[in-house]
Amino acid sequence: MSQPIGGYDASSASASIAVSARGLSKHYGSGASIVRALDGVDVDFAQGQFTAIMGPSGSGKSTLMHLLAGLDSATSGHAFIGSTDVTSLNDDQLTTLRRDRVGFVFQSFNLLPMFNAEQNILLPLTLANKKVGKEDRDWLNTLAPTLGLTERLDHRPSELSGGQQQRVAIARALIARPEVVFADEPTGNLDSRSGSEVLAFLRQSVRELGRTIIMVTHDPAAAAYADRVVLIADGKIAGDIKDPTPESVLAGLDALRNFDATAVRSGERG
Amino acid sequence: MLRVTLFQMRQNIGRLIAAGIAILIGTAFIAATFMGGQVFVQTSQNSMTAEYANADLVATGVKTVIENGYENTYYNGVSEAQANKIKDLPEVTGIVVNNGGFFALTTGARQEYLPFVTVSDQPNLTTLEYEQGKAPATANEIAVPVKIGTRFDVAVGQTLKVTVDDGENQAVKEFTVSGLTNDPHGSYSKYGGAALTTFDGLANLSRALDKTASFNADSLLVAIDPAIHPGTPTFDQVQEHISAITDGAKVSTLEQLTADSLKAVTGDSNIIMTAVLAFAAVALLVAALVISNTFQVLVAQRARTLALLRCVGANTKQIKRSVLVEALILGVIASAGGIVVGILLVEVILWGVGLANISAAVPTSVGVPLTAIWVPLLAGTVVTVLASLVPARVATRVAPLAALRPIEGVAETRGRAGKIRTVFSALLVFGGVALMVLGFVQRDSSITTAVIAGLLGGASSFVGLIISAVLWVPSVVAGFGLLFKRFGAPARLASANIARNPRRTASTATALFIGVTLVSLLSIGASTATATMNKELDKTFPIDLQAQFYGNPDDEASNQDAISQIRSLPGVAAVATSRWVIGQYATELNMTDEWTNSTGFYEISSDVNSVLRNPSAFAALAPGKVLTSGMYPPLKEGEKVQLFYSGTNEVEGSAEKQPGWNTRMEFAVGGTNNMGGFLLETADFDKFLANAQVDPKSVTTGYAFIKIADDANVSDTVDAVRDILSNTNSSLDGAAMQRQMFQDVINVMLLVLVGLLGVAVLIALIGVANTLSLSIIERRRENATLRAVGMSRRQLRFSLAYEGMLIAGIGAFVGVLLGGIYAWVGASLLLSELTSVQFAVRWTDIVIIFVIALGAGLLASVLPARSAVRTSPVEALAVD
Repeated sequence: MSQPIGGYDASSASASIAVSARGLSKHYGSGASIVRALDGVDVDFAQGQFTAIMGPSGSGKSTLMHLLAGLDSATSGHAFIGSTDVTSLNDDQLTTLRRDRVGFVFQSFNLLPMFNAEQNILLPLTLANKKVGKEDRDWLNTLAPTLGLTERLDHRPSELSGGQQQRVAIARALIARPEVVFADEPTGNLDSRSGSEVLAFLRQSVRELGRTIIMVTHDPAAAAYADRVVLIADGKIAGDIKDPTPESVLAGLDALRNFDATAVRSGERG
Repeated sequence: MLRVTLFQMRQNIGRLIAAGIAILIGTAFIAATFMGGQVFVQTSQNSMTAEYANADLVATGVKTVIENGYENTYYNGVSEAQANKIKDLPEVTGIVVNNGGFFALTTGARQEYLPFVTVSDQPNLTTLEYEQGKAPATANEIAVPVKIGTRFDVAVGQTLKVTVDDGENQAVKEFTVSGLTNDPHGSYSKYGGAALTTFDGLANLSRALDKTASFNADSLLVAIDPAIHPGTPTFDQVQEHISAITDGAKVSTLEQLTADSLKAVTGDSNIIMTAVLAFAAVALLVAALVISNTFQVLVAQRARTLALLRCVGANTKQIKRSVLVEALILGVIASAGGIVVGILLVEVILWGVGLANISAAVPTSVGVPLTAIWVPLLAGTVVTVLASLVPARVATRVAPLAALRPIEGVAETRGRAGKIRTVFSALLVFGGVALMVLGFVQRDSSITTAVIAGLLGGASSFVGLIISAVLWVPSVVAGFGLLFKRFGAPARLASANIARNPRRTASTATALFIGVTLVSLLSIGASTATATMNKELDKTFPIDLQAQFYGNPDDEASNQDAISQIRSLPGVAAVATSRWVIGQYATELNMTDEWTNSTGFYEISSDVNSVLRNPSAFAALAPGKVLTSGMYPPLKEGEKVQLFYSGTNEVEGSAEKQPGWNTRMEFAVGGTNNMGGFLLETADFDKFLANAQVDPKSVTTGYAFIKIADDANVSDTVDAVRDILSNTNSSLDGAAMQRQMFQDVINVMLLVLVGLLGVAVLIALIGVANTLSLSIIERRRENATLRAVGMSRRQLRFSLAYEGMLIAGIGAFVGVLLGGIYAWVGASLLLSELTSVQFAVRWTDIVIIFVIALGAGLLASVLPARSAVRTSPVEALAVD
């Protein structure tokens, strides 16, 4: 299923590349009213790295993430997780992929209110009809103290603070040891203290637990926690910042605004 | 505000339609009931007056007089002499004797009784038409219905025998068939048709046995000279004149008869309609629960809008009124729809009945009575508005502040109202149980008190359980949830989802268990009644069928042949025979009588035990003992009786003077039995025969006892046995027919009642679908999350199917349980006077209830699940 495309051999690159896109496009509508939310994007995300995708509203950063994670279908091009071409999978294969190889962290936490924290964390395993084995138990016992949840495992989401809920969501994203975790504005609904806590945990899980995380954000401070920032504007890759600081990210964003101010106002989806 | 209300209604049109359907079905039920009442009235009226054709006057011989302050009605009919006098009145142009008696048409062994009606040349006096031939013209001619002609295999011009039988003597008259008739108006369909003959022909028949006898007509149809118009003084004079001839009895015009019959049938139809309307009320109650549920969720969903309205200045009264107005609009529209559906349904059925030509008395369409419109309209609207009262109150609790923060819905509160509910329902439940216990205590002293106490107690505890459902259903749900946990993630998710909104789940399950409780109450009640009655029948008729053979010893060979044929019938499980001989007997009391009694002595062999339903039937039989019945005076248990065989039927003179007295044997009466004569054990019977040196030829088969296989069709088997026995001189009796008849009546009643209650269950199932789809809309984000973190479409569908089936299953479970308890209490109180109650459950019914409930729960989840799986996982990322 992984044909070499555009000189890129997915199977040989998979050792270090966790996620990649080749000519990935998403168009809405047709003819004169066509909206190019994503326009032929080529990008690689390295394994064991914490990458932030940044861009102004409507730049296409969320669309890129949706396509990479197999949540939405691409108009053309390919997205790979490991050596799997996500764009070639049917709904059931995508479901299995999401369940076993991808983790998600959402802006509004999205925990199930009727389950307690532990049940929420174990949900991907439950859905796979897997027995929670010793290995999983050990992994949970590693995650819980790391995320500061040991005392909260039997609490319902309604009994947890926003920061705690998001940490539960992170644990849920990590429990199946996915190849990559996608985080969509994970701090958007949190106060700044809880937000930086969550970001610290995300970075920690990359550094200490060897995970790969791709985070979409519009907050330069949040992006600064990442190892690398990919800038996107007008549906295209517009920049790449290694070892970002809030200042370098802001500078990059400013450059973007000057680079194409009309694209931002064109009302494209982001 | 009205515009806002209407806008909101448009926004939630789908959900309102689902709730509206519940009301629509309920009101359609009521409208159809009133229409059905109208049909009943017209049908009965048609069949009551159809036989009077278009007579100008009808003399019925009915006379009502006040005697000693009491009103007495005499049904004298019209005698032949009176009919003759009326016929000779100058103003009368013709008469018809409408039913001058029933006589038997006979052909070979076939016999059928028909009412006899005379012919007239006045066209307005008859409703029968001639398919073949013509009207009888002479006293020896007869016209019969076409189907009688077919059944008796006679054609026009052939002869038909009419048998006159007064119980002792018989006379046969031969008639020539002059015509075969049709009855397009169903005038005589209640009698299976009528035979037409001339006035003289009828008079001759009446005198066939007794020269001085004469006929007496049920009614006399009279045609008056067309020059005399009804309402004129001359017409009234004729009417009075005829009345005077018939001893002052009533003589009516058709209009007067119609008015009288209407009065009679409306009373009947009112009773039936009241009963059916009670079921409609149950359906509406269930609909109210569904409505209330829907509105609560609507309010919860609109919390943000309501809060915004409050923010911009709407007060609580306006919010409340908005919800009530919405309910009012929904109630009126849905009820109007229900009325249209109900009326159309009845008209379509009538049209179908008319096409199928089932009965001429059923009208092909009926006028819509006003009650079929205003009663359902009022009931439907009031119920809808009442059901929305609680949601309206909840809506007023939305704080204006709620507009400013994201909320998931209106929090459920359990304040004062919850406490009142708890106390009130506890009073109802425990009071009801106490009343039922009182019923049991009172059972032996006063059955009426017991039944009334049981009825009140049952009703009050049921209402209490319904009101308090929100308090106890969640525990049941939790219990079932535990069971479900083993079935994987979707099932676990389903049980968790059900438990998170106990109030909604409770009212959905309640809507269902109301109907199911009543259905299973009826089913279990009916099977208990059947079982109890069967036990009673087993006691009185221990044998399914007993063929008793009369005749003489020469018939023995053919009797034996018939018995072996019966034995080989597929529906017959076992046959036992009993020999008999006619002998003489004497007790101490009638030793001095100047005559000697003869009766049958029957052998009861051990074979008989194999055909008994009640093994103790002949338990009192022992060596030296006999069972007896039909003796006068009745023999007491333990009384001594002398049996002997005189070998002759000349038994004048006292017992001691009879031949065979010397070889008499003395027996003690062991007990009674309904078979007649004396029953002896085989050993005693053989000893008696040997002792009295009875000629073996005189000892023949007296009884064949037949046991019908449990899985056989009883009426088919009985018919087959009767066919075989028709060639022998025998009679057939037994419990099988009664048992079957009883069972048939109960089954038909049950079918009708379950059909009526099925409407309530149907509405409740709409409620299940409604609840599910509402939950899915509320859980849009959650479902998207689940899809994002790896739940497949199949799993999501399964989960919703489980949820639907779990709610429906809980409703069915609780309903069957309650129905069983109430049936047991009811049967114990009602039937206790008859016999000891045999509690019985027809498991097939219970299984069917569960299959329907679970299947419907599954079905109810199909549409909601379709929209749920369409939700893209991307929506989990959306922020509202």
